[in-house]
Amino acid sequence: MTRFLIRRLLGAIPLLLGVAVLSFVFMQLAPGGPDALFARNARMSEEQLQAIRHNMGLDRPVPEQLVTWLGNILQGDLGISYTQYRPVSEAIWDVVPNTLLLMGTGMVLSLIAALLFGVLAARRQNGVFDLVASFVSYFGLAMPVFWFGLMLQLLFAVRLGWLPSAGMSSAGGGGFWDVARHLVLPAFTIAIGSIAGWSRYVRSSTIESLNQDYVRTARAKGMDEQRVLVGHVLRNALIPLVTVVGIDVPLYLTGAVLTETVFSWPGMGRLFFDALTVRDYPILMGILLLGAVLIVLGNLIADVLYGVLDPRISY
Amino acid sequence: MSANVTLETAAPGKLAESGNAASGLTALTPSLTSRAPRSPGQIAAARFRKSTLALFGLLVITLMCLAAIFADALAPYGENEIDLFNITAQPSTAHLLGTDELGRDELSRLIFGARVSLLVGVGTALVSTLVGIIVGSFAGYYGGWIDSALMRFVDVILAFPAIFLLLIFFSIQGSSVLTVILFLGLFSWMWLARVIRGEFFSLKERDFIEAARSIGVPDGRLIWRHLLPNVGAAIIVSTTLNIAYAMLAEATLSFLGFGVPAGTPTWGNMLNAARPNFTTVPLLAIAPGLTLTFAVLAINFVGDGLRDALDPRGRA
Amino acid sequence: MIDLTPRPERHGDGAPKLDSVNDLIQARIDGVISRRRLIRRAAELAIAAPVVGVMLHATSDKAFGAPSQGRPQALRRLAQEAGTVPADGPTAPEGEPQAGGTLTIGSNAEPDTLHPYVSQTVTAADVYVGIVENMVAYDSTQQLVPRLATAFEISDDGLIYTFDLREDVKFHNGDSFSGDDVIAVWKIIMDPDFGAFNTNGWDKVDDITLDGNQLVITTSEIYAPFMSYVGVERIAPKSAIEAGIDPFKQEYGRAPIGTGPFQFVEWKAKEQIVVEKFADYWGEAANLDQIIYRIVPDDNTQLVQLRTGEVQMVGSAGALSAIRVDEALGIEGITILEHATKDWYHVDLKHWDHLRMTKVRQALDFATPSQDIIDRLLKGRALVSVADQAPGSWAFNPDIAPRPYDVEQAKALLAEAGLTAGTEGVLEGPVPTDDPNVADGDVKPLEIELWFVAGDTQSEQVCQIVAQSWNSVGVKTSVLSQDISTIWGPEGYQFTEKMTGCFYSWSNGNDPTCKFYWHSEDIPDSPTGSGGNLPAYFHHYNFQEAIDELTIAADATTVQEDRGAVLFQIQELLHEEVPVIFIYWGKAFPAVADNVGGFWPSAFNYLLWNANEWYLT
Repeated sequence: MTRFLIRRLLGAIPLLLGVAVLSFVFMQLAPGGPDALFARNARMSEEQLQAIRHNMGLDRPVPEQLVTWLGNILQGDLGISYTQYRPVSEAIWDVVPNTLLLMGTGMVLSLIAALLFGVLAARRQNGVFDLVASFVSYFGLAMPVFWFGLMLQLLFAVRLGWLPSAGMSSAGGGGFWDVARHLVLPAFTIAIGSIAGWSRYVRSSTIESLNQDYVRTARAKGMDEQRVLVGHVLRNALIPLVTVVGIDVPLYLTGAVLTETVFSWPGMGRLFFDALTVRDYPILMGILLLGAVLIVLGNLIADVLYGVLDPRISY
Repeated sequence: MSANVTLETAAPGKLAESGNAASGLTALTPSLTSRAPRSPGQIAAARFRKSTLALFGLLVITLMCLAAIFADALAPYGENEIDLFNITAQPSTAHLLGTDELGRDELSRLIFGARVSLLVGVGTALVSTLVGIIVGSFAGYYGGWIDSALMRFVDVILAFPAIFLLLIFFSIQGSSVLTVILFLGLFSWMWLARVIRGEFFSLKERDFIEAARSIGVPDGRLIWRHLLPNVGAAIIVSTTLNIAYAMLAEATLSFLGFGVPAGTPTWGNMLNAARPNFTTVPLLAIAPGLTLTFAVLAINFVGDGLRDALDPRGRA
Repeated sequence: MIDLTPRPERHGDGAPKLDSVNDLIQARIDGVISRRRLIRRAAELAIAAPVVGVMLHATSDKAFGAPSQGRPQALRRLAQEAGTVPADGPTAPEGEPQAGGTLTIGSNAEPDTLHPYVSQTVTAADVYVGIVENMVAYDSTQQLVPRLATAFEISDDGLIYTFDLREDVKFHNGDSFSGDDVIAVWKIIMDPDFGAFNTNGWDKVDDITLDGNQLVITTSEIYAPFMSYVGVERIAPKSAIEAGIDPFKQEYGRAPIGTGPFQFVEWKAKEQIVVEKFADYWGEAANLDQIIYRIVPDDNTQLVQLRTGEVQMVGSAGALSAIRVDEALGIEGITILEHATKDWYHVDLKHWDHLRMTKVRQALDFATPSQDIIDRLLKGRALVSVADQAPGSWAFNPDIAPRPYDVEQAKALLAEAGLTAGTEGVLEGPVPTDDPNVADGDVKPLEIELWFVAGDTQSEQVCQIVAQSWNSVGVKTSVLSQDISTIWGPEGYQFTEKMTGCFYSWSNGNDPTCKFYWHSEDIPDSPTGSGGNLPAYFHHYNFQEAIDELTIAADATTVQEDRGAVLFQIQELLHEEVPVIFIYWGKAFPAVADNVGGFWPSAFNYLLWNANEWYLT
């Protein structure tokens, strides 16, 4: 088991290295180059521009820049933001907790909803609940996330005024309940796709295990239905679901960018978007890398959990 | 069993079940019990017809394609017919869905929007299928270091947060319908490649391939005539579902302002333009969103129907 | 020494003493002589013209400070009819001013950094002006008012500036303010390793010495706008500056320290910046206890929050856009203010192929529905523009009538320029080669790329409208966008060998000089060079000599009437030649809750400039 873990962790390193090198190459290909931000200023002289380029290390050969950059990343140094004039890591860490809060809440919400809907739907296959749940989940998968968010905002914040329409806290607020109220709509928005997808997943794996011998045996022994569901079926549905959560990290990253845009949520997606409009390359690269790390980590966790939870796989 | 193989062979299953928009959808339709044997095509067609939802989806898609093709004749106004004296007008007989912030007819733009949205959807799906087939076949057929190298490359691409990369691409390079199709396509072929590779691995060991190889059938022909047809079902289903994925992705990028150039009527661009006014003129945001949802829904229904119809093993 | 507080009585009953540069400046600040008298007396004293320029800057008699008669009143009437209130004084709500309280401001952008020396955004300045002070500052009538300096003096040769610095001033970190802080600021701004965003003015400083509380700045050459750069520079404490280049740049920008009436409390990224009253402020301490600057990058939410009272003010960088005003006017308890801006919106036309022909450019002007754009798209909340001087200023030529939207005239002019309908109705014809007035080159279609900065909805809409109109006269126009760095970068539309245009705004400085936009010296020598005259990058304007002469003449003339005449001529020439299509002058629409007093925004200062005078009732 330990050896397996170590091997997987080591395997992730070249992967991340590949991502880092490719990111760097993309940035170099950009027209105007990384200093385009400064060149746009018609009132800035050639000398000032050169001084800035020198300060940013852009006047050195590209391979040297790449090596320096990779070396810095290994030390956790993502460079200095071109527009915020502070370390990129600092700028990112300022907002990452907010994104993780959003993503985490969304995932928990989605897991609960998926288990609930999935198991209930599986219990009475093709029953009314099953059909309704199926239909709803078809819609959940077909809807653009941001549009769903806009509709929630329109209905619950603008028209009904029940919930705040944007931000993470009120001015002067920021307590638990304040943040919780602000979290409701964005969390639902980011979760909608996975509620739909995961509940189907739970449904089919529940159906599968309901037909397994051990469930039949348990029933035959006179175990009541509730305990069969919770004790045997749910547990077996949970195992593969956990791995799906890990695999779906990219889905949540996309969701975060969109949800944060719609609800002005102060997270990584917003930081990325703002950096994009002013071409703050160090921040863009930092977030790209962090996203890749999250994805690789998600896969790793899925992989490991799959191994840990499924007794049929041994190492 | 090597851990890598675990992940990769598990992937197709995960693809089918996870919440990805591109992913498959499990069956809604009642399971099919065995019937009198007919040709596989007939069986598939019969299964497809069995599914009301799939047929409904096909109908919706057909209507949308017709609307897109005959947009010039169908739309009451031009796609960019600006009328400054009729800005954000309420629905009326002249403008069934009202007008947008430049006085353009919303219904006409929805109809013209179907063109670009469907074009991007189909174009992207074709690109991704093509790349998926090439990479998957090479890796699966030749195996060895070619396989390792290609699969590592797939790993790297999958580890990229696609949304961030696409946004950076388009913000730097600018975008056009063509680049949107290309780049979306280049980021959605990986799952198909893995499926094909996995299937090839098991097919390769089968007798008929061994036999063909021993009589000197060239590699290209072997792949094209003997191996690929066996994964045809997967390719068709993946392509269909990728159309839906691409339409959603295009709308997402356009909504964020980095997709198809602004001004071109696509459903995503219309949503982007409607957002500043959506509290006062919500219809401009509701209409394109609903249209897109129904389009994607219809394609997903068809994709599901195809999956059930073509899967020789049947489904639970 | 010149005292910045106007005290007409100091001259007694007799005539003011007018024997030196400083006498004249003092008399002008006290309002006992006119601008014209100052200029005339300066001539009598044989003061060099550049020094007169310095004096005029120091007394703030510039384009915006001296509105022409009649016109401002007319503008005010217009504003009132439209439901907005002209911002010509501090807001003064009924009811007793309250002591203390918290004010929440909404903004749709976040500052890049709060560092006065490296920030590039207005949003940042909106906040840091309340925290970090300058020696002198401009108020909303564009008059200099004292801050850390109580008085100043300019030597007769215009090279030496002396400031009387205030004593007993404390920084928020407890340091005492002195001239050493100013010296440290000068050194860090000029340090090439620091990379200040703007070194204007400071790069003319030879030496700074301190004599008691008098700061003596010696400059290497006469530089008219010295006060509007060095005089109003924000002063950071020496201890923070000397902490080292990187710490100063990084840490100070996230938590600035100054001598202002408000001190920095916290900055939650993408959420809010909080400042609170500084108890040891040298002057009148702030009424408000706290100001929260909320970052909400969504116009809809901004209005919702103004409605719910969650936000009580938007202004400056975060002010309402013209198209939102109608919606905002419906909000109970909110007043929408209105003031002029220095921003002129236009489509520039690269001097390339057919666009080098005056008739083609005039035709495009006829084919541009500027008035409809203002009336319909902007709901009448902008002023039609004919050239580069602000309506309402003395430099504005009121006799030029804008070209009407007239498709027939446009077509006629295009025909005169030798263009005929080709494939698909797109006009084509020979292009000029050497002489811009002779079309003797290849036959080419008249196809124009019209650009805007990606993400700017209003610009996009204007471009769509313009494109449709131009297309309707046979000019094939496509609308394209790029992000802000690319479009102004070396790969931008300005440096491609195509006919292109771009919709954007220039923001005029305080002085009506316009050489930067039109003169051949201001054509960049490379795609990364500096200079504002980009449309003429490939070919000089076909009226280049005339505009070169006029812009130089305008800057060399110090007598306002004469200068005005030259500026009028420039505007006539620009209107005739249409190097760019002038569309409109923007207006600004700050909004404030009815219980906020003392708020007085203008185009001359940033949001928190007088925040210590704000109060709630």
